[in-house]
Amino acid sequence: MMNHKNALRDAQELVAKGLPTRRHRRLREHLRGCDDCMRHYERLRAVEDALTPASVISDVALERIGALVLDEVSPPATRRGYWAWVGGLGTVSAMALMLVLVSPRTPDDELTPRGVTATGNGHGLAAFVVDPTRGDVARATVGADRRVIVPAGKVVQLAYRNAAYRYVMVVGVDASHEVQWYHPAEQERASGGVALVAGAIDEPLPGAWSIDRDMTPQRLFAVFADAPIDAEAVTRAVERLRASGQSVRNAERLPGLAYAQDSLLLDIAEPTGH
Amino acid sequence: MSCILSEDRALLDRFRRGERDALGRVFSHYAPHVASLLKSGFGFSAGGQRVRFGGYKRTFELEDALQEVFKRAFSERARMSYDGLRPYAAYVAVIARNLVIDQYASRKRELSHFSFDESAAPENDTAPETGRPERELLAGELRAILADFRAKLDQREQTIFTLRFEENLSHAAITERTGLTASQVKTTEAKLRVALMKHLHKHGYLDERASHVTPAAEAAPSGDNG
Repeated sequence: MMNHKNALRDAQELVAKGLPTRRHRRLREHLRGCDDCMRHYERLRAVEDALTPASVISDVALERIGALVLDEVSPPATRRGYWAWVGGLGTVSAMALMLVLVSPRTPDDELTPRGVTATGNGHGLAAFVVDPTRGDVARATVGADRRVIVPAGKVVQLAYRNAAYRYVMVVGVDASHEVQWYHPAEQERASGGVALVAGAIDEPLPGAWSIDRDMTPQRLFAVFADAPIDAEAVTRAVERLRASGQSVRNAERLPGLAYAQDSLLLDIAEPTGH
Repeated sequence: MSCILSEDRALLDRFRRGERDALGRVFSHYAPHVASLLKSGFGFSAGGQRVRFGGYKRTFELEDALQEVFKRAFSERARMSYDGLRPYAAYVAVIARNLVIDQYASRKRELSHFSFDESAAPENDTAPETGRPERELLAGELRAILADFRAKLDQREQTIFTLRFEENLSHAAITERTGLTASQVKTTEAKLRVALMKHLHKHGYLDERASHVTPAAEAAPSGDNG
């Protein structure tokens, strides 16, 4: 989902003050297929290396690569709960948590500051919106249709609350019923889903997504189960939704799917304040 | 180069268990050595031929290769295969060489679908593009821009630019050398970085489309006003 503008921005941010590992990884994926952005990156890195002439590669660049390696071969221990998660963002010093939306199956939860209403009961999908460049606080708007409005340029991290289920899958469906797998990654669909922590409150799911201006709204469906989830069954449920012609704005559940579910509507707003 | 793994058995044990901080320490210690090897290149034999690997010239490729070498070196199998006696620098250098040889073999296979067309006359006699003149031109352009930037700095900024970026001194060492406070040194450096990015954009070295993402510290230093 990364476009050229975001890639240029991230390349510069990477060199200027560092990027979270996940965004660094996504940037590298983009660069592999984009000569223009690669040229920009090479120039930025040349500056960085020119300012540390004694080294083949600058210390900060080594540190960045080291973080990518360690993240892959020895991921940090899973943290529990909101404040632990915020602590986990310590390396993401440029980021600031902006708002929290918890979308549970219980009626009493509304948009609230993080940590106030989470009870740990039931199950639900949550979205965190992170401003990668500024420290100001914005507030999400959530309607009856469980809509999360996210300004373009921000980063979304999904999380969950879970009493006792063991697996979750999250799939996004846009207005054209195009599908994007969030959790697990598309190539890992056969895994049965992401393993859940019982009793977790706002446990982050792996990965984060930059919201580009050209993204279209999506309904994010989270499917919870006690046993590995049949990804094909989820795919068939999406097909049924498509065949029904029902708008994703109104579809809070994937039809005909014998799993517990929750959903959010991820809507994109024009960036503000830039 | 000292071998921190053979000298520190506790570290070796933690490394073998794959503990993150131990892996991080090993990476920090050996990555510059591996980067140097991957950049300068080396020779190897393949298919009965002697092949010279000229080193990765593009920074991105170098970083990718470095990442891949340590991913391989930190796999459980590779960690457990290291005997803790041999120098680890040599061990990881073998992994780096094997990576390059793998890439060579893979690209050779891809190119096996192609051959030179003997019947086609060359369109002209110009030498093939190597990319090297372009890199040298770019490096020259960057040197000139940096020199221009440096010349426009005031005395304090010039001093910090020299000590921090050319002599690679720590903040503490610069504080000691200049008598400035640590806060003054850090603030000046932050301003220098912002100013340098602006300067690079202004001179067309960096893509103009990215100019709006200059780091947040917007205080203009004296060096980039013209």
